[in-house]
Amino acid sequence: MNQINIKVNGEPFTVSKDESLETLLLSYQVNLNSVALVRGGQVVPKTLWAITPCEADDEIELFGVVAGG
Amino acid sequence: MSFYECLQALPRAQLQMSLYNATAADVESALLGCQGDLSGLLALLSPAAEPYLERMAQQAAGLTRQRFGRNIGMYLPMYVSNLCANECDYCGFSMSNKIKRKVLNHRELEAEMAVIKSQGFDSILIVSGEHETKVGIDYFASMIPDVKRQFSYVAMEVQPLKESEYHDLVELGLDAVMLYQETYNPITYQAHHTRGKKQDFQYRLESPERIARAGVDKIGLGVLLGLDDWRLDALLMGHHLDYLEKQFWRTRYSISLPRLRPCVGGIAPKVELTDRGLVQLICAFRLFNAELEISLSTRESTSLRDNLLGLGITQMSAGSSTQPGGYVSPDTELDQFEISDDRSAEEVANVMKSRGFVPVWKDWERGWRPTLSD
Amino acid sequence: MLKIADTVFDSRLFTGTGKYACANTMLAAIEASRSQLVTMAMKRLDFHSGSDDILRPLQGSNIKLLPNTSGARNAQEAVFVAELAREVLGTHWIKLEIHPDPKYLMPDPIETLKAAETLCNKGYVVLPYVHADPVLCRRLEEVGCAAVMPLGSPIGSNQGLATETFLKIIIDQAKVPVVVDAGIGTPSQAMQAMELGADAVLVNTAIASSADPILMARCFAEAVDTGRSAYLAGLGKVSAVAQHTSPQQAPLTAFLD
Repeated sequence: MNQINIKVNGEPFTVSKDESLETLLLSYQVNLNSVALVRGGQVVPKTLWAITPCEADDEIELFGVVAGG
Repeated sequence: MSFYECLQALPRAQLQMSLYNATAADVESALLGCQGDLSGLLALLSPAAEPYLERMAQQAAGLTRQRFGRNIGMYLPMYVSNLCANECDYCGFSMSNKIKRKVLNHRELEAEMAVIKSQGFDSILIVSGEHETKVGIDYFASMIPDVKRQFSYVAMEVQPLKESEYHDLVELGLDAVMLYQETYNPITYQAHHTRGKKQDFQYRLESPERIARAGVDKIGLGVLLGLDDWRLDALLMGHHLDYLEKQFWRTRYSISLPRLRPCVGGIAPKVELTDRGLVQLICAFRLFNAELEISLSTRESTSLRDNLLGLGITQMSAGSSTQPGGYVSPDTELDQFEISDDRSAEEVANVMKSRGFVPVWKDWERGWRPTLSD
Repeated sequence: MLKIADTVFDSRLFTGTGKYACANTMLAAIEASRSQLVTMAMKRLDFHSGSDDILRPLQGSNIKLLPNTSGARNAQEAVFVAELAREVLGTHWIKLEIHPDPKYLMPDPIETLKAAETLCNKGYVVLPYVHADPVLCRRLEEVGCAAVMPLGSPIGSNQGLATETFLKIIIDQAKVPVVVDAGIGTPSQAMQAMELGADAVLVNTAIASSADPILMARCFAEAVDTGRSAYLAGLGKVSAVAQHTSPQQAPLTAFLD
């Protein structure tokens, strides 16, 4: 099987092995310019998304902007 | 940005114009409250404030009482050397003056301190002429621990030192540094300081910054009133104080307002400051800064000193000698300047008490900071 | 002209993006406020509820975005949120706010100072939200904060300048801009802060929760302008008592005569 299990914002998700973080984000239909990605507690800079593959059991958190004072 | 740069950026001529063009309305406005307000200080230092002197005095007395109570801090200068490597035309210690030169040795120092101590003082001001090589950091470092053993508060008024040197002296027990700019006008400054390291206006001007960075508890500023236009010099000292309070807010500040006095081979004041003017100065600074310590030396006359009690003065010397070794063997021939009030400390203290003031013989004791004195 | 770090602002009214009924009203209100700096928060994305994209229209304008660290309960979390914000918004500006107390949202001074030092060292332009504590503001200035943002009263409380005495001290001492944040409920309170000499005010709730946020935003803009002008014009001084024309006690300067 070329599928691996990861978690995105706490929810289980299955992706193909070697799928990049960028591809993953595109499948979420989020605006890539308004999101931050954290993997295992570390911010992964935008510039690395395209060349960083998802790995089995990754815990990925996506953050964005919300209204606030 | 150092204060030297700030001073260069200040429009000197314009400030002087403003001082002499201030109006009664400006003064009235300042009298409604001008704490921390340099334009208020300007108004109160201006000739326009002269008719308001009584009101200024009433307010200054009230503020002083509110902040300091009826206390007057007592201190005594201890001249340790009259060696000087400078030529300053207003000072009896100038290198070309043919006077007997002397540096107190350890034994003489102990003898001086014993006399001072016996008069009740616990706060002392070490004074020397400015002679880097013979009376420099090594001398001060060797004597301050001895002084600290006898006095809980040790201030010094000597040549400007390096930041690291101030830092070392703080470790040895130094609490306060008095360093007077004499005048904030660089041209006048050059005219009166014609030889020696003291000619370096900028180094002297930036000294309080080094002193504050070194962790000294209190810094004293001062101008020699009479060298230049005293109103402008006082105003610029206000700017200096304001700068220092903002940059170095952990430090206490005091000012002295010495008037140019006759001395051996000295000069006459260029701009005379009358008693009335001196009262105006003291009150203006009190209304500008409620926390500021203002000290008054024995240069001033007995009756003036007695009448100035309560108007804003917080610190006074009494029974001073201005020559090295002068407490053990009084001899006026080595004096730095003439003393006007020659009463003993006890006499002055008694006058204070009779007028409802409390002489306090101690300044501040650092209880929770170890020093090298044992 | 107000300058924070290397950015110049024409408007001294900063606004927030919270508590609006909808994004369109928010945008219209911000426009009416003429504000050039607006705050926003960071949040973990929730894929189940549709998010209103407040960012896209704001990013298209020339308004500067100021992400905050709300939700952070200590310095470590705040630094993390700042990193997220830089990643999302591409800005190294951060409004540092750390409130471990969910009831009154009082800022934690100790964690704020720690986080401020870390963030300043990392090159952020840090605007810390703090209680109106003059010494804390000086300490924050010393670690390199670009401005300080003392509170007028608890966030969203509309109580105005309950901390006036201390705001005056902070304004008097500060060498960086002072932005009064939190608690300003009415235009007159914003004006009062500006009259005291504050460099700017930050208003969110009072505009967003008004029945007509756009009109209210305009009112605040005018109040801030007026307050600033009054400060510059120089306010008359208040005297507690009538000025005696003759001294009430023995004259102190008679000895000079």
